[in-house]
Amino acid sequence: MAQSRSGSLLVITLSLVAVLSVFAVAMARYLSIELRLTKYRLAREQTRGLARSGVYLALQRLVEDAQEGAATYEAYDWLRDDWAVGSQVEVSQPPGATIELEVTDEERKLDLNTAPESALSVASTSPSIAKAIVDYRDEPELGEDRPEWEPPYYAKNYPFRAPEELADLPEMDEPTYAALRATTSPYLVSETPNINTVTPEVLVALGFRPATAEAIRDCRDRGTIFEETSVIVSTAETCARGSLTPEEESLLLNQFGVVSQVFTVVSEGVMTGRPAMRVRIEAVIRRSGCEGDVPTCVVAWRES
Amino acid sequence: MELLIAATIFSVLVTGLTSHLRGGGIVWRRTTETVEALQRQRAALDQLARDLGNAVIYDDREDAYGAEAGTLPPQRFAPDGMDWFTVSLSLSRSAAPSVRFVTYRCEELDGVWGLRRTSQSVGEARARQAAPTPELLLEGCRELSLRYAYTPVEDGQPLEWRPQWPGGSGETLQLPRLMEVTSRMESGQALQRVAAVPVGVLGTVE
Repeated sequence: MAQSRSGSLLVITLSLVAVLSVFAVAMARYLSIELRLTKYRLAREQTRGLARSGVYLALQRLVEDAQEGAATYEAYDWLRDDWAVGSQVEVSQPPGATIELEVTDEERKLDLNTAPESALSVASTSPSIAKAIVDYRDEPELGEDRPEWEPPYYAKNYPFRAPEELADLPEMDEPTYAALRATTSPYLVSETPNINTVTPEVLVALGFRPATAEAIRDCRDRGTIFEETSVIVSTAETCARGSLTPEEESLLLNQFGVVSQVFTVVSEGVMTGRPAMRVRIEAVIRRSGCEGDVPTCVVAWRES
Repeated sequence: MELLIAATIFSVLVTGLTSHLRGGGIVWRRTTETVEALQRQRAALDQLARDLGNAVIYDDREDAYGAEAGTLPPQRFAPDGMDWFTVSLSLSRSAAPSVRFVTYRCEELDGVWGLRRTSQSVGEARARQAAPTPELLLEGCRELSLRYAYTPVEDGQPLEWRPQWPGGSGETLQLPRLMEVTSRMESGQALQRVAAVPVGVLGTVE
């Protein structure tokens, strides 16, 4: 009988220990999840802060690059300029944190608000989209609005203010949208692309032969700089080994500059370790033409 | 006798343990509810801050805005709600971002108070064909209270916060640079956050 009672107590004790263990494990698991969520949230905020800092760091570099009298001052902007070289900035705290910066000028692109339909047609590889862009931004015409469509479509009849407006155009698809984002910009102050940075695709869209566009790019890759507008034609002539057509010479004479004033900054805050985190901010910075007395300004900000 | 004492001690222990576990369970449940509520609040204010951060002036002509179908709905930064154009970035990289007209209000719908957001494409907003379906972001919000930052009249003074935007006539089609968002909940709790519009401007006091 005594043996039987001892056995019952053991069973009861073991059951209690088992129940308490289940509670302890459940609580530990819950706390572990909460802790991980908190770490994730903290890392995300820190990474976001890093990405935001990166934009203002790039802004500072662009200001310094434009200051006459600065050690690195150049009266032209080119693809090996200080601002153009992508950089990775190590941050001391928190450990494993970096800012990845990439700055590109918008003057390498066509002006979305003034480019002729022919150039947009080549850039988008779609004549109907090029026509839709021109209809969207030009004067109102009878019957161009389609309120009955799903979603309804209205031509803006005013310049693009954001490149994302392209997504509203009828028949727009992803490849065309991507091609237009890469070759056009609504943020330009000057209508003249920078010959030092303009892409071959934009040169072809403007009427250059592909061979000339490639020759200019190769020449730049080898370190040639178009230092002033007055030497654009002669330098391009050397790049193309004297094979420029009269039309190309005329384009080079009237439609290009050598400086850039609007820049897209892609700043990514990166945290390695656990949890790994990456936050991306894309901002457009204008180095001139800002309202008021401000020398530089942020004209667009995209944070996901 | 032995067994009686053992059973008494055991029952006292079990009663004590049970009451502690019950108390712990209640605290746990309340904490979980509070944490979840805080996470919902944070998620709602994050969404609001993201929409404000990506804000754009879609059209800078005052006559492009109006109440009739075909015109753009006006942006509005009032003391109790906001309407504006923003760029919506899809979480999926493959989907193209687009310009949307968004509104934020604390209002009652079907007997439920909450912070509600509507989002429409520019075409839908211009057509005024149907009222957009509000998305409930934060249940229990009774009042949204907004204040906008203004440059102080005298240098060296702190920013002035006013419930109206714009302050000057030149700010009608400009975005406020900073705004203080306060959401008062049914429970009496007030959530506050300062949100920034990087492309906005500080108001000027006239």
